Amino acid sequence: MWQYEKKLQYPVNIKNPNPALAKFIISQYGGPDGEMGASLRYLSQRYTMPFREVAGVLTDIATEELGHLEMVATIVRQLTRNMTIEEIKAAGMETYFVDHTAGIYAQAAAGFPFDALCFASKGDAITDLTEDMAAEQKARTTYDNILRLADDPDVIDPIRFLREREIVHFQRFGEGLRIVQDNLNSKNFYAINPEFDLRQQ
Amino acid sequence: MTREEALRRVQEADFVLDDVALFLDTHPSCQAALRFFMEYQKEYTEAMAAFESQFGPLTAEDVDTTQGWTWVQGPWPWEMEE
Repeated sequence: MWQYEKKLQYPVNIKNPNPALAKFIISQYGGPDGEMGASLRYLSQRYTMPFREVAGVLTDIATEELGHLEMVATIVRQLTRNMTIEEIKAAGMETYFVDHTAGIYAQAAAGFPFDALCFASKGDAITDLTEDMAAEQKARTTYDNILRLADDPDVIDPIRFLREREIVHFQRFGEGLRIVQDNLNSKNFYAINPEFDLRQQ
Repeated sequence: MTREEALRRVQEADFVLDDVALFLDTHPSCQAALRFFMEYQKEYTEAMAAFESQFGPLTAEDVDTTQGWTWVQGPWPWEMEE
């Protein structure tokens, strides 16, 4: 189970609301490479992961990603607080406003809603960890793109923190993949699928 | 110590534990990492106690009910810090 801690993993204090930035940062909430997909992908994958250390990596990174989901929502919330109708129109945010007002909704920057297809839980240890390494790099690229677009230091600082964590997670998943391969036939990693062919208790 | 300073101390200690825990998942016998983790367990416990005694609970389990239901008092994390 999980217990809530009433704090962010890294502080977010955005002095100047700016809905134009929120329009694309929302993608890291509910977009294809966002924190919702990341956290639930790893949490879904861990149940069939036969190697204890790697199940630990999936559990702990997923838990941290839930904290990142909260940070992204906080950034969006602070950027959209106290918006006037004029500011919504000036930012081109009418399409979001009409469906969600200023509520936090899981969608991509282009407007399409969160899609569980991004969970990509394949039930094969090598496949899933390779997916996870790519997922961390895709999230890192998205944060890099956000950093190219954002001009407010109060936004840039927590986004940089989130970007760095993607790199650390990529490293840990790489080590997880190595642990899996160390447990497989070194002449043919694909001789079996350890998530299906190794009998579990 | 202001609320913000006390909270930063908790956040820093907790971040170290989060990050080193990930490292230990894939390096479970690294003695240096285990020692480092132990140091910050102590710092985290102290930082949590210092924050909560002055500014209220960070988890519902830590509520001191003699003070009432303090869990819903004070700012939520998504609100601006002052």
